[in-house]
Amino acid sequence: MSNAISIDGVSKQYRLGKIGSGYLFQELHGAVRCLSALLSGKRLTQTTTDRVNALDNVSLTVAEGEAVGIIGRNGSGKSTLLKLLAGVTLPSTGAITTAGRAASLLDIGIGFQDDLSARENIFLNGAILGMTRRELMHRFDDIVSFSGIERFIGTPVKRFSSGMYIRLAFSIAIHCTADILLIDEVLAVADRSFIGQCRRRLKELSEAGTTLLIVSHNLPTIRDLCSRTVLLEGGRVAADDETARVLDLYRSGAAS
Amino acid sequence: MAAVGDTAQCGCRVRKITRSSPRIRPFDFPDLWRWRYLIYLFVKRDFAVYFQQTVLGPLWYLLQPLASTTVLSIIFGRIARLPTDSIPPFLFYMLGGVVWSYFADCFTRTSHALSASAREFGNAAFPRLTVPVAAVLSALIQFGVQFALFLLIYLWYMRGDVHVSVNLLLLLPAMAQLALVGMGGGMLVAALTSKYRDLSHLVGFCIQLLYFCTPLVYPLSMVQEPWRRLYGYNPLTSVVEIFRRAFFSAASLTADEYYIGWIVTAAIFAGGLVVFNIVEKKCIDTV
Repeated sequence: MSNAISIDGVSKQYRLGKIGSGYLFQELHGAVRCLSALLSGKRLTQTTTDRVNALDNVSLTVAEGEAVGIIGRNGSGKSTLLKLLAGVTLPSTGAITTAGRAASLLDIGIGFQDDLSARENIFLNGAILGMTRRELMHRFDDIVSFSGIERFIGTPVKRFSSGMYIRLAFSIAIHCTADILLIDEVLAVADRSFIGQCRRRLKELSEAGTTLLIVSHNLPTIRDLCSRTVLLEGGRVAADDETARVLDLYRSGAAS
Repeated sequence: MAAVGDTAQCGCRVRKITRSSPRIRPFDFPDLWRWRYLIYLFVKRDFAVYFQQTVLGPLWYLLQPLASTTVLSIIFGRIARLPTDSIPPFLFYMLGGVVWSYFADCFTRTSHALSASAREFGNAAFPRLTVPVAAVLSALIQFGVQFALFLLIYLWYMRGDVHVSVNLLLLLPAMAQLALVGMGGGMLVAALTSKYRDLSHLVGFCIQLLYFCTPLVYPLSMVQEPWRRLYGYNPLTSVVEIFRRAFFSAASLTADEYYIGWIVTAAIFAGGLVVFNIVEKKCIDTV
């Protein structure tokens, strides 16, 4: 079986502190520093204090049709990894190769416009996720019935409760036609019955050959869906093994 | 993000991402064409949101040019008594206003592209250029309504005196030029303001100055050397003059000025595309 995803020595650096609020003056200052370092023949040593490695030399391969869970504490680099896989942001070093169409569910309801009806938002959100018009037409009924909001299909989503909102958003994403599905901790807020419904759907997709990558703090979900789990710690792969073993390791680590 | 579009449409293509992988491909129009449905939905969204919970709806598009044209006719026509190249003053000011408002609309919508869609850009990998393109198309709706109003008033004013001129054919490239300048300039500003927010104050101010540096409330024929030479570098000058020539056969634009206008337009658009592409790669991490 070939690899759906291979990640090869990937690092992602972020600068700490106020990047967005940088003044032109600071930029100039940095440029002058670079220049003077060049002129004096010194190698500019990058100050490591104001940089953080969200991911540090991560290598992973995921086989086609495999379901892999990714766990780790807050800030261990899980979301960064998914963002890189989705192609939303670029790695600082290393290479990522994906085979097949990847759909990412990094945040729910992206592109949702509060004033538009649920129907219009299904099309908008689906198109942003990369679905074509034909696919959306074809799956529209499935999406609506999965979300269980048939009666409110013409209602602007700003009048939705947060639960309805999540149901709608998740239903769209989970009906994406994709070979690789990347899911980032979006189920946390849904109610128990809907989580169960989503798990069943993900299981079906997985059995049908879709490659799944699931980031979650919800360990039962991971145990239920994923045969293999990767534990990230401080941007590095701390464990990569059968789910049961990695979960034990994580729990013992969390307890200590 | 071009590569993602590839995979989205054609089954199982292998995609490789590295630090340098999405080579700056600002002119990737086939990719944009593949995502046309998303562009269509963006336009539809803009339109729906604009008219949601409004009393007058599309009437706003009509009231605005009528009111501003009336004011301009009084101030510049009656009080300041500026010449209008023997074009009826009301039509003169209205045409300038309609042309300008399409440019300004394209420009402002595009310049907000990065900041307004930051959440979408941060969580999904569709081609970023869809947003400015949709902005320019959305602005076209308002222009269409206002231009139709202008045509009605024009036909009523010029009863019996309307002669169809070949210059009407120049309107299409002039419209394209207007859209390209607005989008190009907007992308430049979007890229700059994503890093330095205070530039947006400067931009509003500069747009105001540009309004007066474009022959909108006065004819180009009034502008003498040495200023006349500078006016050629403003691509909006030639657009406005083309519109006047098409409808009133009255304009003093020279061929040289027309070509310079296009060169400047191409430079602004190309520059905007390149800068926008560079910045959108980084802005996910910096915004």
